Amino acid sequence: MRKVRRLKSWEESDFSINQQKALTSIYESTIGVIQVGGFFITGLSLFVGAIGIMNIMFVSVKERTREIGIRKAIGAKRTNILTQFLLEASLLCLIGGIIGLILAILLSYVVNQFLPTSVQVSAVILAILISVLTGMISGFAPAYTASKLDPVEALRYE
Amino acid sequence: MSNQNSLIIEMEHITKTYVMGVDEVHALRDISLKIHKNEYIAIMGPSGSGKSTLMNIIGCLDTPTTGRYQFKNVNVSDMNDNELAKVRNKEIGFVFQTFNLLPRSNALHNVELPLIYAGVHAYDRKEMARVALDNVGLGDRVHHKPNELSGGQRQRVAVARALVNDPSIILADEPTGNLDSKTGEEIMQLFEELHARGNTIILVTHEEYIAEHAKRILRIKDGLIESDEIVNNRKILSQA
Repeated sequence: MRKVRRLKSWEESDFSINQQKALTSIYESTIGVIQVGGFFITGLSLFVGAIGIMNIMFVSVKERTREIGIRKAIGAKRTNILTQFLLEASLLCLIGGIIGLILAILLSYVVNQFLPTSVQVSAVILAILISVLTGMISGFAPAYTASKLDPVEALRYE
Repeated sequence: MSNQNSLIIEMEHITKTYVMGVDEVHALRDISLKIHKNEYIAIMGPSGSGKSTLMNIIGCLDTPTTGRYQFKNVNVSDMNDNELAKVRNKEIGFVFQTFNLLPRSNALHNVELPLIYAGVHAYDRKEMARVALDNVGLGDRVHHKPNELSGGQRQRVAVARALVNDPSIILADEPTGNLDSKTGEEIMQLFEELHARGNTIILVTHEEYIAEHAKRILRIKDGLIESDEIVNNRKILSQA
C-alpha cells in the first residue's frame, strides 16, 4: 500500500486500514437484539390476539346456541359443527393476518426512505400460516364446546 | 296397513328419567307405540305430560333411559350421536313452533341445509331446494330472508326444509302455535296435502281443533298413554 502511494521510508503513512469485519459485527449484534426483541413482542401480541379470538368465539357459540341446535336437528354431526367453527376462527385470523400484512408492507415503504428494507415472500407465507394456525388453536376450545351441545337444550335456548 | 314393511316406528316400554340434583323426574313411565307408513297422528297432552320428551325421542334428538325404539326395523335406542344425526338427517323432517330458520340465510339456503349435511352436490342441492319451495307455494320467494317473509311463509319454508330430504316421517311440534288462526289453517291444509301425497305425519299439539285434523289421536298424561283412538268426526279441510 505504501509502495502504491509512493511514500519514502521516513514518511508517515497517509492512510489507515479499517476492517469491514468490525462494522458488520456491530451491525449483526444490533440486528440480533432487534430480532430477539421482535420475536418476543410478536409472540406476546400473538398470544394476546389468540386469547381475544378464543373469547370472541366463545361469545359467538353462546349467541348461536339455537342455530347449533337447528343444525343438529336437521342432521349436522359433531364434526360438521366443529369444522364450521374452526373454519370461522381461522377465517377471522386470516383476515387479521392479511390486514397486518398490508400495514407491514406500507410501513416498509415508509422505512425504505431512510433504511433499506425488503418484504420477503417466505415471511409473507409464514405470517399467513401462523395467523391461520393461531385461529385453529384458539378456536378449538369454543368449537369443541359447540360440537358437544345437546340438541334438545340448544333448541330450547333463548 | 299392519304389515311389517309399513311399520315405521315401534316403541316398547320406553321410559325417560331425568336426574335433577337428588330428585329423579320420570318424564316418560312406560310408552309402547306403533306408527305405520302414511299415518296422520296427533300427540296431545298438557304441559308436563311428557309429550315434548316423547317427541324428542321419536325425533332421535334424545335417547330413552330404558326400552326399545326401532325406527324402520333398526334399533335406535343405543345409537351414538353421529348415527342419530344421520337418522335425523335422512328420516325425520322437523317443523317447529318457532320455525327455527337460520335468520341470516335466505329461504333457498335454509332448505338446502339438510342436503349439505347429507353430502348432496351443490348443483343438485339448489335444484332440489327450489322444487321443495315450489311444492309449498314459495317458488317466487327463494331469495327472501326469514325476516322478509310472513309467519305463514316462514313456516312453509320450514316445511320445505323438512321435506327436502324425502324423510320417512314429518314431526311437527305445535306448527300453528305462533300463527294466527287463518294462517294456521293454511298450514294445516298444507299438511293435509302432504298426507294425501303419502307422507307420514306426527303432529304434537295441545289444541283440540288442531289435533282433529289428524286421523289418530294419542293422548299422553303423566308419562303414560292415556288413550289412543281413531278420529271419527275428522275435520277435513275443503280446498280454500
